[in-house]
Amino acid sequence: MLETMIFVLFAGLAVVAGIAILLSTSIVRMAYWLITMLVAVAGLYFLMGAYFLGVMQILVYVGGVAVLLVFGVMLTSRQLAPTLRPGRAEALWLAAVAAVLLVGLVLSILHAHWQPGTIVPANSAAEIGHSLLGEFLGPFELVSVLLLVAMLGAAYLARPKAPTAGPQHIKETTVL
Amino acid sequence: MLTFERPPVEYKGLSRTIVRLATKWGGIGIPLLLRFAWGVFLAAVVVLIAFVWLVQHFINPLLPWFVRDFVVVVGLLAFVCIVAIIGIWGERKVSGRIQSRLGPMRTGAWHGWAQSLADGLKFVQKEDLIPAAADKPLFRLAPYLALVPAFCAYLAIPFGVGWVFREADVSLLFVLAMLAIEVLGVIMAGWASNSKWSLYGAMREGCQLVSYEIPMGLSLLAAVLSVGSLNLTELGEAQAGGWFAWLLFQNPFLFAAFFTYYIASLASCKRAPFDLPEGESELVAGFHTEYSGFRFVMFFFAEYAGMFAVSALATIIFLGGWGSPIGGPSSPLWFLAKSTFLVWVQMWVRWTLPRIRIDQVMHACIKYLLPFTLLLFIGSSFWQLYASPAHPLFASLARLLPYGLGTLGLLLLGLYFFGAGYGYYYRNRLVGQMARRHLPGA
Amino acid sequence: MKEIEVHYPPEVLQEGEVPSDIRTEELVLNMGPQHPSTHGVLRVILQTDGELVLKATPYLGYLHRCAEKIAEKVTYRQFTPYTDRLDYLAAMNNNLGFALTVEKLGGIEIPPRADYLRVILAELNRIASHLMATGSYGLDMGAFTPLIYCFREREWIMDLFEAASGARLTYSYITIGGVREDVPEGWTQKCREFLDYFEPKITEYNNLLSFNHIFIQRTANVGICPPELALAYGLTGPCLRGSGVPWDLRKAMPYSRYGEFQFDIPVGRGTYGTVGDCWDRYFVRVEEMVQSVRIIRQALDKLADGPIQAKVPRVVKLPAGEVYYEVENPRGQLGFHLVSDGGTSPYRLKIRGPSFCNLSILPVLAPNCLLADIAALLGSIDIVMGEVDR
Repeated sequence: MLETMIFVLFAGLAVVAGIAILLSTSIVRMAYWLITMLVAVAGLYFLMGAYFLGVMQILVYVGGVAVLLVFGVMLTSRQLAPTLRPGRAEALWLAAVAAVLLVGLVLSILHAHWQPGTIVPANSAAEIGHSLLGEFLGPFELVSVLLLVAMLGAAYLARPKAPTAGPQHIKETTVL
Repeated sequence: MLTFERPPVEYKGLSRTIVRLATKWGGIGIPLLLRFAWGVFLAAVVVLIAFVWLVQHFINPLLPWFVRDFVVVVGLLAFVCIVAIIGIWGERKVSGRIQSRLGPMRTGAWHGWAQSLADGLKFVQKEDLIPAAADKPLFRLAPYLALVPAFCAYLAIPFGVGWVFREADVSLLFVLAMLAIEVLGVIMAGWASNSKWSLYGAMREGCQLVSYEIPMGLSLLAAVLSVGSLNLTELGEAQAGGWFAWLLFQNPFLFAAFFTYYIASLASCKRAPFDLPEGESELVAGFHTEYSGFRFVMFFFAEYAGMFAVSALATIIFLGGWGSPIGGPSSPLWFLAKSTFLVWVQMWVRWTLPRIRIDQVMHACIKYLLPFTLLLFIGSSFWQLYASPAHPLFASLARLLPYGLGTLGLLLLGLYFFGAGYGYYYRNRLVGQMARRHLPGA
Repeated sequence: MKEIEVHYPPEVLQEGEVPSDIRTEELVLNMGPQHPSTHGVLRVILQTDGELVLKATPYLGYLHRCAEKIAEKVTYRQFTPYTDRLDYLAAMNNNLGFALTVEKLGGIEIPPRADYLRVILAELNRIASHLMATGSYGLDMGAFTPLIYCFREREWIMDLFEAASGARLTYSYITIGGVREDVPEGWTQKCREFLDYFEPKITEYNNLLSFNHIFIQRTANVGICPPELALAYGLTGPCLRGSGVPWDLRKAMPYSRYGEFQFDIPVGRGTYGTVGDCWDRYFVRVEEMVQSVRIIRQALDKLADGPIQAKVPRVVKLPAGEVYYEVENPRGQLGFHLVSDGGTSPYRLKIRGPSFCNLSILPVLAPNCLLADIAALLGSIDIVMGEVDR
């Protein structure tokens, strides 16, 4: 009973935050609704007994990805509340694609064979570690290559200008 | 009306009753309380300890779990507030003494202990100013986003065996995650103030905090490797056995990891010498320039709560947690004493060193601290590998090394006390006779 | 337009580089008249590109009090308190400059005791002013403690001044013809006690602030002013000596018996960076304090009994003519250009404020600095707005 209540709380918060992301007009507010949603999903992870995953969700998603998102929004926006309004044709296409996806999702939920399982909070960190270096070693190494590519891309984008070598010439003029 | 007349205040109802009782009994009661202040304080401490013991042994098993949870959460909230209040007062006294002055002396009869309370009362009465062009909902939300995660970190920190709100397998990561959410509050504050100065402060802040989480985490992970668990209670229990069993002394890499963790935690708490975003002379007050009154108090509280939280982590993981160094019973008081010592060192460092510029801060993190902590991590893992029974020679060295490092630690501690004693004994000569004669109340 | 070649070490350029693929905003920032790190009411408008400063424009005049115009209306003796308030942190030196100017034009001879007292007080005020400069520079860099220590020492000097003149900051003590009144009994003894107490303190400040690695990183190689540039912009005082030019008026054109004393002129040597960076200018001030202590000790030894004022009529009338006289203030060379038409007040008194000329280097050195370096730059130039605006 208590579990249902907490589930409804977190899931409801996630859904409300998701809708708010769609409906809000300011990019910065969207970013903060996204953070709310991520924290709500972390709460769901905690409820399922996946403590490690929940903590990682907060540490990496909220503390890293969302922070970067907010940085990007703030550094490149030109006004306090930049707004995004899609055009008519865009909106129709998007609605169509979204409707197809929604129908597919709902059908797959309805036709899945759900088996309620008991929540067994295990020594999650150790088990995840064993599986990462055991059966999921391949994807693990690929992800590290992906991270390397991302870091190289960021370093390339942020490279400094060609330095002006040699002496600087200061013109002796009145500055004021 | 004359030039200045105090407008008459009319109390009604409950307030009137309270004011009447306070003035009737308070006129005698408060001075009486202050006269026996020490006695009252000690009696309160004894009563509190007795109450907690009673509750723990007799009442806890009877009550439903949510009552116990509620009481503990309220207690933790009170603890965080007390930590912040005493921290602010302590900071002012410590800064005063380092600067050869006294700090608050008047509010409250003894060394201005009530200064924080007076400041709190003052802040509560201030006008609620929000800049007209600011983003109002985000402006209001930001202080909560800074304070609530700082409080949530305390939910997983054990003060002793069994003195924890919820014991979790991943409590160390939970604390780190909560400290990572604070960044968003700071950035939100800087943005919502709609001022270029605040925005600059927020951006630098975000960079610095996020970057220094990595050396922090790596240093802690080096310690986690030796114990093999992310559970803070287990990490504390693994160091039971006195001074030489502390994780700090098991490994030269762990010894260095403690210091890198401490430096990274200074940066993550925005304390000097890394307090450029908030205290820079040209940014006035950085991201919280536009915050006044109680909202500012929340940022302030968040800072001191964060300071104590990172010191508590360092205590549990490196300094033996709640274990006594001299082999007595372990108790939360040892934990509090060690954490308070680390907080005092944070204040000491703040009032000694100048600020580092933001690009130098980032250089220091990415070019020096990060590779060094990676080396510590690798070194610690190799140490674990070779300190197993498969390599008997190395294993015997690994068993003897804690005593060597522990002796080094004792020497450092002795140096600290020697310095303090020397400064106290020669306090006339060091400051100068003339200054000592000049200082009031010295 | 003469082009001056300035060689910056390569690290400074690379630190200030702007990434080329990410566009950051060009902001116009106002370090307004009210600001913690502008020393006084100075307004600087900064154009920045992200963290890099492109242009800095100072706006002056917030403290203009028409001192030079007032000089035309009041008599010479009445103008002495106005000179106090020019560079209010070095009031004795301002008084000295004005008194020497008037005495030069009027041909007044000063008795030796007055001269030595003038030197002692001027050098004590130099120590006080440099303590203030050093302490507040530490505060700009974020070190709060050296400020309080320097102010603790300054309290002693102010006590000495209060005993001698009755005031703590603006003394009007060095007047035309000598000093206003004699120092009380035991003053020289207290002065010697202070010097003995103060000398080891300078080592303490060096250990705490000057040789602190963080401080050096904030100030070395920042705001490098090569000697030719310093001379071209008319810098004087520690700003000029910090750039390596060994020019001190007390040695070059000695006044007030400075030629009788033995002391060195500290010069910036680029110990931790390049010659002429902020650290050099700051350290020249610290070393000047040591030299001032030397001078005061020698002057106290030479102090003998005697009259403290020359016979100057109550209403001072100067013959017609003009004179320009400069003295070495803690912040540079303070000059008074006095044009007299034979009356009791000057016809024109032009004051050459050293901080005004020193401030002119700010727009030249500010480009290619980071935003945090502007505070370092302003603190090392060490201006007092009373002198800039008069």
